[in-house]
Order: sequence, then structure tokens, then C-alpha cells
Amino acid sequence: MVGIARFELVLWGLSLLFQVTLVTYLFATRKWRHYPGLSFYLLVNVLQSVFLYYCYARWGFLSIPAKRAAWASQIPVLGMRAWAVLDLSRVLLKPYSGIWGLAWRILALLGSALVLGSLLTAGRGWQQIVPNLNVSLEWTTVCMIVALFVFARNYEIEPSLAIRWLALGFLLYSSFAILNHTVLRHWLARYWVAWNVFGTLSFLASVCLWWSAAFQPVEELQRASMLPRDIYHVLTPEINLRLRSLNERLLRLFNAEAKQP
Amino acid sequence: MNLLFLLPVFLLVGALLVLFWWAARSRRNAPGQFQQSAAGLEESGRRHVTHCAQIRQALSRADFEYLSAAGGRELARKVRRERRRIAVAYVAALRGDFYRLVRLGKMIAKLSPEVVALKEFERLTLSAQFLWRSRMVQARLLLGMAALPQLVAVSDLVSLLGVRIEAALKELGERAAAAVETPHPSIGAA
Repeated sequence: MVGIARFELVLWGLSLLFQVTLVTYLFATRKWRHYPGLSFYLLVNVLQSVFLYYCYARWGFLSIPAKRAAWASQIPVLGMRAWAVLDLSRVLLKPYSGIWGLAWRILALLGSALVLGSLLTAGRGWQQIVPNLNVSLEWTTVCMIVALFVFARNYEIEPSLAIRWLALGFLLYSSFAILNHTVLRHWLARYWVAWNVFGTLSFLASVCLWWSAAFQPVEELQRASMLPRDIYHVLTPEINLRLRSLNERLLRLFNAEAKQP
Repeated sequence: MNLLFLLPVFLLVGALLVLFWWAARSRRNAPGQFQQSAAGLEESGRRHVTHCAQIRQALSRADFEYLSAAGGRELARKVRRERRRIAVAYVAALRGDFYRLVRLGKMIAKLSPEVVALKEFERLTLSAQFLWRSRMVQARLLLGMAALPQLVAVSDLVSLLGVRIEAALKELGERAAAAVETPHPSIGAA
């Protein structure tokens, strides 16, 4: 194909091969039912690669129609990635129904705020909107994953190794995309060839991490045994009241000290 | 070539990655953490009740004034240093009790079929406030700016807290024991 360096083409092919084998493995072993978000995200990614290959072969790598087709094909991919990240939250927190009920509201609020911010700051014109929106959504992915794990840590929920690998894969790719885009914006002319190579390399690394996650043994998602409903409603206000009293006493102590000469 | 424009983005991404690493690293919690947390609180309640009188004695102004008058300046200095050491350790112990209580609250929330966002948020803000205040009190004690006898007011509250919650926990423990002693569902789950 005209305009693509051989090395980049090899990387692209390698990435496609890894994705196809991983998707085949997930569907053949029925593990896709445990990771539906990741499985369909990778499937859409493979379809995007086939579509792009056709576009580049037809119009050339550097042509305007190919460029537009490439950015437009990012929309379903980003949608599937958002689903994959939400699916990760489900796998991690769903066994704890109370916590999950709180977490999905917080994550949805955070995600909506970040996406809204992305839309408002995306700029004007096709050339600006899609790349800016793309990088803003990478920021959203990173913030959502970090918020999810901080939330889980707060409630002492231990993520399995597979969940950690999955999250790390998304985090690695999105973080790298943010850094790559920042550099690209300032050295557009000199950097754009390297930008594609680095992007593909980081994605390849992420696919390897997802491979590791897919090979972990899986168990059926089971709901944790819950306490009776009234215990939370009786004891939590009691505990909070005592925490507040302790805090107020400490504040009074602190204020009394502050008033001393 | 000016690379400064890259710095904020690199720092922010780096900070988020460090936060992820901190949150995702293994903690190797044993099953039955609920009982551990509850037992720790009961234990500390008993400890406070047992040692409250000694701590009150150690921090009392009358005791200090008597020792200063009877033993001279050198002894007064030694006593003041010792009292400060006790007070600093005591604030640290109070913090430990506070966090055991916070942990118990989290465990209850984690194993409840529904939680209330406002209550969870309240506990989070109370924890942040307590951490800040107790550190400030500790710093003031270390700098010799704190009035030692006032700590007794806080110690009374913690003692009371430990004793009163013990009764509630006994009842809760019986009901919860069967529910909590199950394998951790997120380990190996997918």
C-alpha cells in the first residue's frame, strides 16, 4: 500500500493477528460470556482494520477520503471501548449489590461529566473535532478506570489478576494515546509517522495484556452473601453519629488549643 | 526545543498511573475481616476502659503541678517530656480506634444489599476531617503547643464508644457470621 512504511505495516499485521487469535480464543472457549465488553470491542477493532485496509488500498494511505473514513470508523470502536470499561466495573463490583448500586451512579456521573467536557472543548471543524474528541475520550477512560479501582480499594474489594490485566491493558493504551496526541499536536509535521508506529506498538502491548487476562482461569460470577437489609440502616447512622461526635470533640480540643496564648 | 508544555500532561498521566497502581495492588485480605474489625473495636474499647484512669492520672494538671513543686525544675522537665510522649501516643491510638470504626462501617456497607450515598459520603468526609485534625493536634503536641489535660475529654468518648458498640456488635456478629464467612467472590471471578 502506498504511503505506509513497511515496519508500520508489519506492526499493523501483527496487531491484527493477535486480535484475531484472541477473539477466536474468547469465542471458541465461550469466555466471551465472562468478558462480553472486551470480546465485542476486539471484534469491532478487527472489523475496523479490515475496513481501513480496504480504504487505504482503494484511495491511498494519505488521501483525504481514507483519513475521513479512518476517523469515522473510530466512533463505533470508541463506543465499544466504553462498553468494555463499563463491563470491567460490572465484573469487579457486581457481586456487592449495594456498593455496585452506588458505584455505577458515581461512575456514570463522572463519565457523563467527562464526555460532556470533551464535547464542549472538541473545537470546530472535522479536522479538529474527531481527534480532540478521541483524546478526550482517552482521558475519560483513564479517569474512569482509576476511579473504579480507588472505589474498590476504599471498600477493600480485591480485584482478581484477570481484572487487573484487563484494566492495565486499557490504561496503558489510553495513557499512551494521550501522551502521543500531546506530542503530535506540537510537532505535527515531524512526528505524525512516529505517532502511528507508537500508537500501534502501545495497542500491541495492550492486546498482550488482554491475552494474559483471557488465559486466567475464570469462575462463575457469584453474588456475595449479604447481611440482612436492616443492619445497614440501623448501624450505619449509629457509627456515623459516633464518628461525628469524636470529630467534634477533637475539633473542640483543637480550637481550645488555638485560643491559648 | 521547549519541552515544558509536555510537563503538565506527563505529570497528570503519571499521577493517575501511580494512583491506579496504589489502588490495584494486592492487599491479601483474609476472609473474616468483618469479625477482625469488630473484634478490634471491642478490644480497644476494653483497653480504653482499663487504662483510662492511668491516662487521666498521667495527664492531670494537679499531678504535674505537685511533681513540679516537689521535685524541682529538672524533674518538671522530665515529666513534661514524658507526658507529651504519652499524649502523642494516645492521639495515635485514638486514630487507630477511629479507623477501626470506619472500617467496620465500610464492611457493613460492602455486605449490604443497598447503601445510601449520603451516609457513605458523610463517613468519607468525617474520616478526612478526623485525619487532618488528629494530625494537627499531634503536631501541636510535638511542638509543645497543646494543653495536655484536654485530651481526657476525647479519651472518655472513645471509651464510651467502644463499650456501647460492643453490645450492638455482639448481636450483629451472630447474625453476620454465617453471611460473611464465604470465599471472596471477586477473586478469580469474571
